[in-house]
Amino acid sequence: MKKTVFFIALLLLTAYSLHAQDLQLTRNGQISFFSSTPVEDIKASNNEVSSVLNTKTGSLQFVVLIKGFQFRKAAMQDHFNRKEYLDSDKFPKSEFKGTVSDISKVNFKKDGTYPVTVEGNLTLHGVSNKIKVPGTITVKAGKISAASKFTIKLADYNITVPAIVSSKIAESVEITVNCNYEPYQPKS
Amino acid sequence: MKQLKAILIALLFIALLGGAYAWFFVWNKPQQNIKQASAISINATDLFNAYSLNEAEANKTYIDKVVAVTGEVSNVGTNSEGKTVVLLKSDDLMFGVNCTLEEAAPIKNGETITLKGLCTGFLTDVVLIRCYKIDDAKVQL
Repeated sequence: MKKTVFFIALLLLTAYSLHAQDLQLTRNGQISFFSSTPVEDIKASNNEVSSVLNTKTGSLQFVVLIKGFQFRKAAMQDHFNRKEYLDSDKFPKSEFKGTVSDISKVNFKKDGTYPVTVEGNLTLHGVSNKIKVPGTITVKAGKISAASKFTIKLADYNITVPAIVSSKIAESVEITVNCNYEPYQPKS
Repeated sequence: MKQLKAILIALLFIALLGGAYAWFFVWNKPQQNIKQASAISINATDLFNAYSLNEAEANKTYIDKVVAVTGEVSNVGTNSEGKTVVLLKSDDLMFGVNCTLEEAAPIKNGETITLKGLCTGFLTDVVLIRCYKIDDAKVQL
């Protein structure tokens, strides 16, 4: 209950006027990352991404749990969560808060794939950085989805790769985001 | 002297082989078997409330643990990997326990079920991944 009140208050704050039909939510969005070196390819994905998109103002948020990233190998996953890397005990979440700066280009009433630009703050491993990345918003039969692919440098987020494994982990990793939204339907 | 050298080389070789074997074993160890792991049993409302009351405290008990959650299904969907996702109701209007199933199971809105999976923390909902539906007979609350 408290959570809902907080959430609605947050939505009210971010949106100048709250029209329920402007809000698109998902709790099962996907974020995956890919690190490639000649020695080893590392891939992991998380399918429990929470995201809110305001189709009117363009405000966009993502939150994801670090421990929810699943790897092919359990050992990779253990390493990823360790203190030396993502330190998920201390920093359990990563989040993005920003806006689709050219949301007006998207016609939500007409089917199509619209290229957009997303700007905002990405927080990972306790470090926040401003990012500006390309993405697409797809409208299909009234359903809205969003996708983006971009790279981040591990060093920008204070993630230092020990020299002994530096041949296995790339300095930059590719992040892929895919979200299929559902309209927000308040229950009375 | 020559013999000693040969023995040393042989020993070194065995140690290297052993090391490689250990490394290979550790590096390729399988993911935790959720199906067979023992679980903490709790109902969806209690789990959600524990998290909304004090997330840090709840994490100490549940994060990275196998949890068997019993609750009423309020939504069934499919994620982008084709896996079934189930939302279990709490006494909150919108949020509850978000469970991603490892293997498909016939689940309908409104029924009360128990899902066993790995707790990864709290966003707007408590999140459980790699879940399996378990028979009521096996659950002791």
